[in-house]
Amino acid sequence: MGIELQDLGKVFQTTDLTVEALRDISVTVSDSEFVSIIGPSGCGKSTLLRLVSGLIPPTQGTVSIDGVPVQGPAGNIGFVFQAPTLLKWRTVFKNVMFPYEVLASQKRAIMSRQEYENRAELLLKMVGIEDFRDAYPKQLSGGMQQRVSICRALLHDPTLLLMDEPFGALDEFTRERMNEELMRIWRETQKTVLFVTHHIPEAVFLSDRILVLSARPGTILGEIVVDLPRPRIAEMRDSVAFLEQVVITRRMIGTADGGENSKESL
Amino acid sequence: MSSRVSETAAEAVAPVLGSKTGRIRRFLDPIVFALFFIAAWQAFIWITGFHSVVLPPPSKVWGVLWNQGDFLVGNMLTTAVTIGWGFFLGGVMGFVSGVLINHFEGVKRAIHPILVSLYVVPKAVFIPLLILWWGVGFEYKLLVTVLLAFFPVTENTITGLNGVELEMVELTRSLRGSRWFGFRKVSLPFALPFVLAGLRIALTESFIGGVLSEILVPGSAGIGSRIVEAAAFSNTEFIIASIMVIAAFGIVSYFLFLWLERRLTFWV
Repeated sequence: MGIELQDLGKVFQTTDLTVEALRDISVTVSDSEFVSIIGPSGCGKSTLLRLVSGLIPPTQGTVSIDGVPVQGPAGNIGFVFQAPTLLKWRTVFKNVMFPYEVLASQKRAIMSRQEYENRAELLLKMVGIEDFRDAYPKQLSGGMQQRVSICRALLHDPTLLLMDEPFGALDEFTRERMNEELMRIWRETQKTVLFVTHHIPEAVFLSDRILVLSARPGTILGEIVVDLPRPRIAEMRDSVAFLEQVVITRRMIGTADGGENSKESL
Repeated sequence: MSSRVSETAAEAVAPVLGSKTGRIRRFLDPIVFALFFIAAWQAFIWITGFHSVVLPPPSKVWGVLWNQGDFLVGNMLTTAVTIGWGFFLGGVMGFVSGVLINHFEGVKRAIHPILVSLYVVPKAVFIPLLILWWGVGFEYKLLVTVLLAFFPVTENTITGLNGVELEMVELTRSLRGSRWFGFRKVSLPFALPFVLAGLRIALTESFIGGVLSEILVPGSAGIGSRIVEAAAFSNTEFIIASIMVIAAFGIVSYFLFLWLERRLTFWV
């Protein structure tokens, strides 16, 4: 699924405060592409995902998915947030089935319950937690909860996956494992992914392209085409080519907020 | 990572209740202590010869419970009807108003400040007004009980619904789920532990409402009125026996509720 953002802008207005979150964002993402969005905190990265999903309307410009302008939530998007945001009173399996229940309540489920259940089982197997299908979220570690959240985002076979710092709350070791796993899932499912992060090596490891956003109002400072072979594997992190890409990205972010971050981040 | 995973899982499913003897001790210890306390009380009166109008010996209290137990329990059941209905109506009204206040910005702006002002006023000041309007019968007592049970449920319902994660709401919306669906499947279960905690407070408040409204109008139905009448005759052992009956009802209903609460919110 291709996404096209044209002159996108978003201004938040409350009675006594006006915040311009994004300005002049024009991007094209092609089908099955993995694109990361990186930038200083408060640059409107999350706002961008919400605009693409149709959860909030833009104040300027348009979002089109496969040439169709987004007018509101279309129901064909998978969301993964920084927190796993699982429903604590549901088992792992029932959490993964949540999108089916929403679709069924709108009579928009395209397959039978049985077929969705089979799919849920497959997804849990894919992320290696099929043994925990009847466990409750509090019985799982943070990394496992986030795996469940990814399964939930994939259940209804969305054409577009939006991930908002999904591994931001995990320790470095778990994060790297999850990155490798996400690459495997992405290869198997061929989703278009928009991935928000502020972790540079993560963005380099995962992406085809990295968009660097400036501080508020977020504008696109530049993009980096990650020139690393696929499939991406763990050992690649030690290669010179990988480290070069990290440095290039870091330099570009360094200019994003007037050089404020360039010293501390190295 | 897999070993870490199984550890967390094992920890979480590990029994939290402790051993079997631990459970028996937890049940037995208070009983043993209560018996010891009653024995000490009886001994104190034997030794000091304390006047039984001020502090009757446990044997006399036991005598009242034995001889007038039916009478006491009968009166308590009358009170329990007020408590039960007051708890039920106050709970339902509290929950509904909490939901309305949370979901409709207009209702919140209009009603919430009034509710908060009512909340901070000691509820007892409304009693003379309620008697003036409704007399001293069941309606008045019910209203006092409803008034006391209402607020903790409203406040807790609002707190619970406010705590729902924005991401869960967005996830439901992104799949085009209706607001009603989101309420039933996300907000309501999320707020349930808060609502139940509010209801638990409302239950004890209902006991206060039911008994207090009777104490203020001697001669009416219910155990509260019997207590005031006994006080007029300095019938101390009757008062103490009545308190014990009220306490027994209170404890049983409280623990029943606690049991129900734990079953309904097993994930907490």
